Order: sequence, then structure tokens, then C-alpha cells
Amino acid sequence: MVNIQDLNDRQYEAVTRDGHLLVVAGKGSGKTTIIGERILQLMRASNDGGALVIATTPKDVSAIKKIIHQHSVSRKADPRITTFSQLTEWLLNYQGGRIGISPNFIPLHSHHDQELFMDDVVKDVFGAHHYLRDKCGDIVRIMEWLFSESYDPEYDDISPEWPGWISNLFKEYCNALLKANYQDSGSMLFFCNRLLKEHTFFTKHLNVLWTTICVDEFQNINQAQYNLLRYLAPNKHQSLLLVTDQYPVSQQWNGSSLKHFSALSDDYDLEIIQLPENFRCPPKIVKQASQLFQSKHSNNQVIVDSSNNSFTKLSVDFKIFYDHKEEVEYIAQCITSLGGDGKNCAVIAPTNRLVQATAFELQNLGIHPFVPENENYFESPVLRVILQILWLAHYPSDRTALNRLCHQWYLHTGNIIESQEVVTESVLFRIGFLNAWFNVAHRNEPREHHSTLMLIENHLIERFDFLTLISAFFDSISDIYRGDTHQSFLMNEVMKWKNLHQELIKKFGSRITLSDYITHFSPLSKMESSSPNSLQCITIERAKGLRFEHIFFAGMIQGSIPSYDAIRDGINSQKMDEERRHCFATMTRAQKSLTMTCSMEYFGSSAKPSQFIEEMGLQSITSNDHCSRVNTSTEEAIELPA
Amino acid sequence: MKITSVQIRNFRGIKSLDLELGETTVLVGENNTGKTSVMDALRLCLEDIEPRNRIVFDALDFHLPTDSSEPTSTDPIEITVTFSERFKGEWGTKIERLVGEYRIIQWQLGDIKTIQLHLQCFYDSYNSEFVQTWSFIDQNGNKSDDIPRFVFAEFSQLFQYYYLGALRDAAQHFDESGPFWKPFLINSQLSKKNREEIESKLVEINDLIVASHASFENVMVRLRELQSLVLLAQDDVVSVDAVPSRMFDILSRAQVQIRSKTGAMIPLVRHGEGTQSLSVLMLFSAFFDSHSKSTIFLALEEPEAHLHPSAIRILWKILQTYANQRLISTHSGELLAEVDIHDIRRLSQSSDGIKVHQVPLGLLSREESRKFNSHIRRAQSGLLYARCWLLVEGETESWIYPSAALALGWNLHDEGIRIVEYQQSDIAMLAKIGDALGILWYCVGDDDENRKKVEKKLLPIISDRDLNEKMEFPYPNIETNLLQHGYDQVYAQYVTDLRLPKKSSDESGYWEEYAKSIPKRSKTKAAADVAVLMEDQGEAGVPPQIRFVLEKLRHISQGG
Repeated sequence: MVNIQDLNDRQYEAVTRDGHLLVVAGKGSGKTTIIGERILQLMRASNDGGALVIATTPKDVSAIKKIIHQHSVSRKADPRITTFSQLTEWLLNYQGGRIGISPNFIPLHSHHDQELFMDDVVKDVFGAHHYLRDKCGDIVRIMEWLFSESYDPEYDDISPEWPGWISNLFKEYCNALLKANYQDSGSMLFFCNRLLKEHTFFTKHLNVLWTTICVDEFQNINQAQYNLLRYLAPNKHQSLLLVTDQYPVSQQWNGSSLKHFSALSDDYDLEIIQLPENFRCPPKIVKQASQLFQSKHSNNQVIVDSSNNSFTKLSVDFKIFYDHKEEVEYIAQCITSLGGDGKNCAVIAPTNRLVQATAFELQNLGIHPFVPENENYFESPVLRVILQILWLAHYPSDRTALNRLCHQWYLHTGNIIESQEVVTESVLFRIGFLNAWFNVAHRNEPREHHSTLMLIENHLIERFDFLTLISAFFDSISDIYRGDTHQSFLMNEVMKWKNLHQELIKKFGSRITLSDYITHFSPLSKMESSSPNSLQCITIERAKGLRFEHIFFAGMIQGSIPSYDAIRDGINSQKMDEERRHCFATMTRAQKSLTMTCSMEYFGSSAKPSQFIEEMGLQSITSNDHCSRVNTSTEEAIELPA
Repeated sequence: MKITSVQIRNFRGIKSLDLELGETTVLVGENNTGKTSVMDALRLCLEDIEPRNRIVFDALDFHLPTDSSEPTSTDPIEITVTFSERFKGEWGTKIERLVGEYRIIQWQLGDIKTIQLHLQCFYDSYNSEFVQTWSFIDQNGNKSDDIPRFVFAEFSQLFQYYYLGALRDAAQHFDESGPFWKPFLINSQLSKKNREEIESKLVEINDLIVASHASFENVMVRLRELQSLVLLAQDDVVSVDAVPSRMFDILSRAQVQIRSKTGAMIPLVRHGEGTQSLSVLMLFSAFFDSHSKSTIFLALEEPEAHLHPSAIRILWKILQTYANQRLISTHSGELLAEVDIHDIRRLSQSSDGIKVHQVPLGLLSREESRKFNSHIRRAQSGLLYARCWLLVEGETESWIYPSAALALGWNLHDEGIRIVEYQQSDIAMLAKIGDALGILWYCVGDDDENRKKVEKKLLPIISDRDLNEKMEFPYPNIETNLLQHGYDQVYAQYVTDLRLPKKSSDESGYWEEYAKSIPKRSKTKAAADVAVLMEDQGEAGVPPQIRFVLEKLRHISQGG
């Protein structure tokens, strides 16, 4: 727990800044404190308006309550700190009578109860001997999906491919809930939204009542919850605080809906504040990293209070070396000077390739870094998509693999396929996730991606011929990107895969099974990995949620951070902003010191320092000036050998 | 903000009572029908809202249904007061934010917001003590118990409840601790210079105080209105007199003097009860004008006390400007003559406890309202105090029935029975009002061509009851009946021989023809003579049909 006077400047800003805020706060960024303090702040400022905080779990609810109860705001109702489920129950208890819900309804919390109840409904609608009675568990999940999508049979059509009985059953299920005086968490949201839509006096009352609204873990909310939020905060009179653990355009994505994220910027005039990944990060580092958002190109312009800086001794350094080897030697030197095994240090690089290469060099220098296994062997989204498709073909009911595929597809095409919809499709037609994914993609995707989908259909769905599919993909990639110099990286990866492909064919023959292909597919020479207690050598993506005393941010070059994709999209693009947030997050993982490095040559090609270095206004020090101090602790400067 | 209703359960004589309140509400009813209980219930609930304070009730406030009931074992006292917006959006955000988190706002038709405050008191036998809880009622009718104290405190700031009892003693109200007088004394606007002058120039002190003490002006203006109600000297009716000493002392002893008819300045407390009572009312009015910041409810008992009837009518008009909402109890017919019928709440005692009656809006047509206002309200509003009405055709019956009752040894007035003539008015209107206000009624008429008309008018109103229970047509007409029973001698004085029936008195139809020969203009006079004669003759002189009607009436008036 942190006190308000201990907040760093970005946290302080998140607490005090006016307007609607989207706070990007990872693990350990002190976000609970910020929610609590901001709510207190706003409640003190407004004369009599109340606050509503929607957290994810009852545990979060009590953590926020604890902060708020430390400070009593006299003569005022306590803020309502609740979960979506509790909130909808509360609202329906209050005014549910207006839409025919008796106030003493019983919430069905367990899946088992829902299934039993669904069985009754199915029996009534289809008769006692209908086959769907065996599918009640699946039907409950379909209903959950429809509820979460804010489906309303009065206004919306379901996909024409889906059986017609779904919308009918949905209506019957809702009616049966009302009749039996039950509610499940999805239906409570459904009816709440109906209540607030139809009875505007009540909606207006809630708007008067709650002038401050906070949603924690915003990235996890579904469409129906977002709609409810729109009713609760319809305009600028409310002060909105949305907290998300990452901006959704990020490399790891948990499969929740993205639609309302895109709606968010249309609906509200939001300021985005990125918090340091860890609240013990020295202010100097935070301040330096914050410069990224002050750059005239960043869309989230913020003003950083620089008064909160007592660590004048500490420096954030950036160094440029002639080649990668020299860069790694320098890092090794620093680690040694910090006391040897480097277990409180991490070397973070933007891409897998750089991580691998750096780890290799470090090993040559006698330092044995821990390099975690990476599930994604390639950096290029398109290759990842193919890999995930193969994976899903092999494990047709692996939900994680499906989530990854949807996410990679989004990164590759920018289009959203909801994994939940795929699951529903799969349940409905009793088909595997891959087939279901294909059906959904086929329905929803624009024509331009149909050629890719056709490949999948021809080689994997209609007949199972993954080897041809892979070669067909290679061909189409070569066709599309031939001559595009910026895609040399992608072409390298394709080459790598091709080589590996041939090795596998050589080893297992041309009748290699998908199982063998996947299990033995590894583009990397196996690294001798030591215990996680030693120096970690990881990608930006891998570092999520972690923090280290000393961080070496290596390989800060154009094309890696920011990525080529971001550079291509332009300096003001959303992707570029996302890269800035990644850079910020990585820098602020440091608890004591941060050293950023790059070299002018990698893998035989020349490289330019990342534009972010300039955006942050950092002076680069070339490798010849080794004598300068590069590293300091918060307590005292550590002299490094020249 | 207004109070739209109060529900009282198990409080003193009241088992269960729901009272609807308008901007002005007038309580009428016989003694011991709960008028004071209603006012006290409101006072105890609203005067001092503090959820954990002293118990506002005492043991005798519990409703004791039988003579063996004990307060410790009866049902809890419950008082629920419903507050409402006067128009949509009146309350603004403040109230919504104050209580919104506790889900106690209810929305009525047209999105009008209401809040129900609930006070309960019961005996906790485990701890052997009375327990009192304040709470609010939510839309689902449930009590919200977990409401923090500050909500009650802030809520009680939104209105003030004042009660002026029937005994309005000027000495008590114009005392330095009187709730309406005190604010004027405290709000001194005397300058330092003035004070020095006062202290040095004792002679000029009265004038100075009055001149510089602007808030007195209000009181004086109001007190001058007394002039229109009671006879006082022409000029300079009121002055404020101070005992010169130090400033706070002066003010605390400020005395109101009123110039009497002879011109002498006499302290208010030495004037008659009527003047004192009025002065207190005027003081309240002045207080309301200059010190009210929130909504004010005034409960006023018997404003007519000690006042001349014509003063009462004028007073009523002034009362309309008092407070934002008024609850007034009265026994005055003069006062009722000024009141809109819909504002009247008539309390009555019945076998299952005290009941409240009112005329709902829309019950009377425009024509019926007009007739009520001209025939009943303005002329004989005292009728509304009756327990039972005997509805008769005309003046003859008005003479005969009271005397017939006296001849039988009982007095209609004592039984709370009043005779109302319907021929000049509207029988349907009378029946409706009687039913609405819980006034029992019984109709008697001639069995002639008018019977059909009467039945046609009453049938829709008494559709669910036995016709015979509510009306009687015992004779072709009352004169015939009287003639048949030996009162022909009286009528003979008014009929010339020429007009008398030609047939013999034994023949059928003789008395009918005789009755027709009586000149219209003489009927009333003759009826008066008959009445006197009947009283003299006693029981024997009462025709059996009239006796039958009276016995039935007596039966009805005593509760059926």
C-alpha cells in the first residue's frame, strides 16, 4: 500500500487530473491506491455528488474500500464500490419492478443451477425428449454469449447461419427467468440495460447520484457492461476513470471484446495516462519515460509535474555502440560491477531474435542468462497466425490456442474475431474450434482476407493437408511482399521456417504427422537455460508484470521499437502510440536503475537508434565515452570500470 | 416539498388511519375522534428527527384495543409520513444525492419523487425497554434500516414542522424563549451608536427600539391586522415597549402593547383571550414571513377559539398565507363555510376504530359542486358536523320530524341528526357527500310522482345496498298523513269551505282531496302549528308512519 505523498508524478497525475481518464496500469503500478485516492479527491472536490466504483472481484472491492475508509468524508454517503454483478442486482432490486422483476428475485450464481433451470426451459419449449436437453450446459454458454454481446431479440438479428431456435429460446429463457423470479449474471445486465433504456427518470437519477464513475480492469468488460456504463456516464457531467492493465492493442490479449475499446474514443474525450509498471520506479526514470508522451507526436499529451524529483544523482543513460558484440560486452561489464550473478537484473530486448542473440553473446562472456521458452517462435504476425492455425488444427478444443489465434489475427489484419463467438459457433454445430473460427471469419471478414481463408479451407478444412497449406502460405507471402525492403525481417523469418520445414521433412519423411511437426518445430537452437534465479534475458512482451532492480534495455533501434509496422503507419498513428506505451512500460519496470543501449549494426545490417530516444530528449553517449557513469542506485552512485 | 399523506398505526385511539394531505387540510369530527392524535402523531414524527434520541412516545400512546391490553404486548406504533415533490424536478439534485444511495426515493406517476419517513416504537421484551426506530420506506415497501444518522439530520433540515395548540397564550408565545418571538429578539439590527443613545436617553428608548429594530416591524404589521378582526383604537394600534437596561436585557423583556378602545396602551397579555390567540397567530405569520428558509408545515388547532364568527371568516383568508402547508382542526361551521369540500377530512369513531372520510376529486359534477357551495357550504356548513342526515322533501317535514321526535321523547340534535331539505337542492349530491364523508343518511319522501325521480337519482349511488335501507316513502304526501291522523282541525284554519272535498270523510280519497285543497303558501305555517300540537300531544300524537321513519332513523344513526 502506498500513501498519496509517496506517489510518483504520473500516479499523482492520475489521481488529480481533471476530465475523463483512461489509466493504463500494469501489475504493481499501485492502481488500487490510485482508484481510491482519485475517488476521494473527486468526492472532496464535488459538493455532494457520489461515486461508483466497479471492480472485478469482491477482493478488489474490499481493497478499494479499505483505502476510502481510511479517510472519512463527512456528511456524505460512502461511494458505492461494487462489481458488475452486485451493481446490476442492486439496480434491479431498486427499480426492477418497472420492467416486471420482483424485488426479491434469486440470482443463479452457479453454473449448475443455470443448467438445471435451462433444462426446464428446454423441456417446456421443445418437449421432454428433445436432443437439446442433453446440451443444456452448452446452451447456457450460448445465452451467456448473447447476454454479454448485449443481444436483444427485439432489435438484433443473430447470424443467419445459426439455427433459428436460438433467438426463440433466448426469449423463452428471459420470460422463464422472470416467471420463476430467477436471474443470472447475464440476464441481470440485460434487464438493467432495458430498465435504464426505458425508464429515463431512473437513469437520470443515477446520473445525478453518481458523478464519479470508475471501472477497474476495463479491458475485461463485455459489450453489455459497456452499454451499462454508457447509461451511467452518458455525458461530460460525469467524471470517468477507467483503469486497464494494458492498452488492448498489445501483444498479449486475453480474448475479451475489443469493440467497446474502439467505441470508447468516439464516446468520450479521454486522456490516457500510462503508469509506471512499478510504483518503486525512481521518479527520474518515470520522468524520463514520460517524455515519450509529451512528444508533439503522441496523441496522449500529458503534463508531467516535475517537482517530485529528489533523485538528482540518478541518471538514465543511453549508449550507442558500433556493433552488437560491443553492446553486450558493455552490459556484461555493468552486470559484473553490480555484484556478479545478476539475479536482480534483466536484459530486455524488443524482439525475440535480439534476445536470443544477446543471450548468446552473454553466454560467451561467461554470464549464464535465463531465457524463458517462448511460445511464439516468430515475430511476424502473419507467421504467428499460420502457426496458431496449425496448433488449433492439432488441438481442436484448446481455448488458449483459439484466443491466441484470434489475437494474432487481429494483429495481422486489424479485424476482430471474438473468440467467444467462435466458441458459440463450435458448440452450436458440434465442430472443432478451427472450423468454427473459419466459419465466423468467413462470415465477418472483408473480402481482402478471403484468399487467406480460402487457403485454409482448401487445405485444412476440406481435406487435412497441412504441408500443402504451409507451402501455399509461403507462396502467397512471397507474392504479396516481394520487393518490399521493409519486410526483409519477415522474409528472413519465412526463410528460417522454410529451412526448418525441410529439416523436419528430412527427419520424418513427407508423411510427417501434424503432431510430430508441431512438437519438433523449434526454429531456435536450444539454449542452455539456467535457473530463473539468474539474470533474465527476455522480450518486452515477456517482461509484462515483472520488475527488476536494474534493467538493461538493449537493442533500441528503429524497426524493433518502434516496429516497422508502427513506422509504416506513421508517427501519429495508434500503433506508434502503442509502441510508446510499450517503451514506457519497459523502462519503468526498473526499481533502481535503467540503462538503454543499441548498436549501429545487427546481424550484418546497419541500424538506426530508436526515434524514441530523441523523443525523450536523451543525449546519446557513444561507446568511446565509456568512462562516464552509466549506472547509479537510488542510494549512491556506483562507479563502473572504464 | 409537501406532505402528501400520513399513515398512523396503533397510536392512541387510532388502530389504522391513512390520511391524505393537501396544501390545506381541515380536520373535522366529534370530540374524541382523533383530531389531536393525528396532529400529535405528525408532531412526534417530524418535530425532532433523530434516530437515536430519546423515545418520543410514552406508554399511553400505544393503542390498547381492549381493557386488558398492555403497552408491552400490543402492536408497535407506526407512523409513516410521505413527502413528495410539488412538481416534477422540484427537489433538484441535493435530495437525490443525499438519499439516493439508500434506494429510498420512490417515483410516482409523472416521475414525481416521493420519500416515506417511518417511525416505529415497540416494546422489546428481551431487554425490557421501549425501542424506537426511524427509517425510510423504499419503493418495494421495505424498511431501510441501515441509513446513517447524518441523512436524517440533513433530511430534517429540508422542512420545519410547527404546531400551535388550541390554547394560544400570549404570555407564553411572546416570551423570550418562544420559538417565534425569539428570532426577532436575537436579530437585533441596532448599531453601537444607537445602543449608546438608548442607554443614555431612557426617555426616547421605546421609539428608538421600534424604529431601529426592523424585524419588529413585521410583527407590528401583522398585529395591526388585528384591527380588522377585533375592535381596537383607530391609530397607532401596536407598539413595542422595552424595559431600558442593557441591550440583551431590553430585548428579552420586550413587551408587546396594544392600544385598547379607550386609547390606553395595555400589554398584550392583559387583553382578552381572543386577542391573545389572534396575536399568537399573527406572530407566527410574521415569523414565517421573515425567518423561513425551508418548507414550513403548520398544524393549527381550532383557530376559531375565542373568536367571533365573523372574525373567523376573515381569519381564514389570512391563514391561507401561513406556511407552505397547513393542517387545521376545527369545530367551527363558520370556518368550514370558507373551506373547499375536498380539503375536509372528517374523522369518525366506529366499532373498528377511527376512520377518515373525504370527498374525492371528481366525485361531484360541476353543477353538483355549485349546488353544494350555494345550498350547504355557505348557508349551513354546520351540516357537515352531523352524524346522520334525514333527507326530506321540504319545509313541512323540517317542522314535523323534530317535533315528532320530541313527542317520542328524544332530541334529533342530541343524536347528531340534522334534517336536510333536498327539493331545493340535489338529492344525489347530498347522498354522495354523505357517503364520502361518512355521514349516514336516510331519505324520506312522498309516494307520488316524485318518488320515481328520487329513486332514479339515488339508485346509481346505492346500487349495492338495499333500497329500503336508505329510503322510505311511507305516505302519499305528508299533509294527507297528518290529516288522516287527527290534525285536520289545524289545517281547517287555512282552507276555505269552498275548496273542501265534496265527498264524505268516510269515502276513500277524501283526505287526499283535502290535502290538495290546502293553499301552498299556508302549508309551512300549518306545519308549524301541527308541530307544536304534536309536541303537546306526546307519543299518541305521532302518526305510525312518521314514528316508523323516526325509529328507523334512530337505528341508522346509532350505527345500523
